[in-house]
Amino acid sequence: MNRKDKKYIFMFIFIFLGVISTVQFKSILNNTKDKPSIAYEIENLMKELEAEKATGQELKEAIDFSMQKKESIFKTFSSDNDDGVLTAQWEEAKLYAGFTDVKGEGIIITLNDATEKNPIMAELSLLHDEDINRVVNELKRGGAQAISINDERVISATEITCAGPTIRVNRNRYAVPYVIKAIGDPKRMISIFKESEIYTILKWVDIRIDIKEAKEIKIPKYSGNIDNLINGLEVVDQ
Amino acid sequence: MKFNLNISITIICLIMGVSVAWQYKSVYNNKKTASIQTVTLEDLKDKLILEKKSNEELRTRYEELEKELNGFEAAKGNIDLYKKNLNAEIEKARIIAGFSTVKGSGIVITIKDTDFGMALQSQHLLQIVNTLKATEARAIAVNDERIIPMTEISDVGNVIIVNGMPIDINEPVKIKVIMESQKRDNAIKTLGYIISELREKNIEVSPEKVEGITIPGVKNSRPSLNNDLLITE
Repeated sequence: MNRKDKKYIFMFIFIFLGVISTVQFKSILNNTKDKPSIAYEIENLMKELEAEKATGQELKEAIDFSMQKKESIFKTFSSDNDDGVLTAQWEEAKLYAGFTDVKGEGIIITLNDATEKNPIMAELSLLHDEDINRVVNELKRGGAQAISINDERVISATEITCAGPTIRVNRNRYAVPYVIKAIGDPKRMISIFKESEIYTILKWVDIRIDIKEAKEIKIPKYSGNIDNLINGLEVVDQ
Repeated sequence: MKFNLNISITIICLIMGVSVAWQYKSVYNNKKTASIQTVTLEDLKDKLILEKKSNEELRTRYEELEKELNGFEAAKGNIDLYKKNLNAEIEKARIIAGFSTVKGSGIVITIKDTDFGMALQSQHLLQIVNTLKATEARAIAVNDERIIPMTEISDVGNVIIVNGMPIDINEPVKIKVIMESQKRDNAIKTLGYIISELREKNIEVSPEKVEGITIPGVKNSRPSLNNDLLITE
């Protein structure tokens, strides 16, 4: 190998090296440019989400306030004109419908997915809509008089369905853990729940179940829009 | 010359080694962050859309309420208007509570147990009722037992109990539902899964769209109506 050959070899190596280092440099530059932009976008979205949530909270409070105002207008009217007969009827109907905050003695059941994946079927270690639905049904069987799931009041229209990894209750989505509160006779509800098929099934697949008795449980009223529940209906006079 | 050459080759190799390592690491990092970020980014966008939609609904509801309140303000002293509005509020609560007899378009689901009444279980009915609620049923009754907030559907032995009353399974069970007519197709489609599951167990489920269904209110004596343990504030 003479000197001239060596020079050519080096020339090629250097050309190759030059190209590689340019590509490398450029790609790193691009990356560092990209990264902050995604992070920036996420940050922006988070801020926007926070803002929307705050707006939602404010609107809910405003609606609550207006509802109270409406209620007090009706109350004044009713006590001035019919000795409060109509508002008494209203309060009674609302209590049956689930439109009143209530409290009383009862139980709190907390359900959570199993800590370890089921070796046979991973799905079994997760809670499903049907499980929650059946637990709620057992509580009703045990004489519950008011029930809430993650503070969503269970009313006649309340659906419990799967929405991906979460469940939907009263059109709102919730993830585990599911806290089910029920007002009623604690002893009777617990014994009926523990004897039920669904309790055995959930225990069998290692779903975490925590049952607590409580002296004073608060269950909030239905928070959705009532008018959305009655369209398409017509009342028949009897 | 030879010494110089060796040094320069060493330096070149060093640079190359460092840059290869650098490159490798940055590619690895990118892959990692990209996969996390696309998930959270999509997730965040979904959440934002949902939140915006719910806020939109809240806003309309708030505006409606305000309009109503202003209406009261304007009609001060108009006793009839107050009475009408208050009565409307009572009626709404009575519908949801299940006291009022209601009428509307909907679906009648006939469930026939062809296995001598042995196959049909309470949880099948529970599943159907829950699906109907999820597809925006406005009023539901199982054999004219109105579904109210605390209605249970259970078995005692071989008998299915709804609102504390036994359901006769020697006759076909009829579930009546009232819902907005444009939502009926979706409801029937959503029921499809349960229907085909029950068919394998010799239970024939046939939903039928009907106009003008009447669903009676809940009877007064039902235990699901008890509320003596509830304290209101």
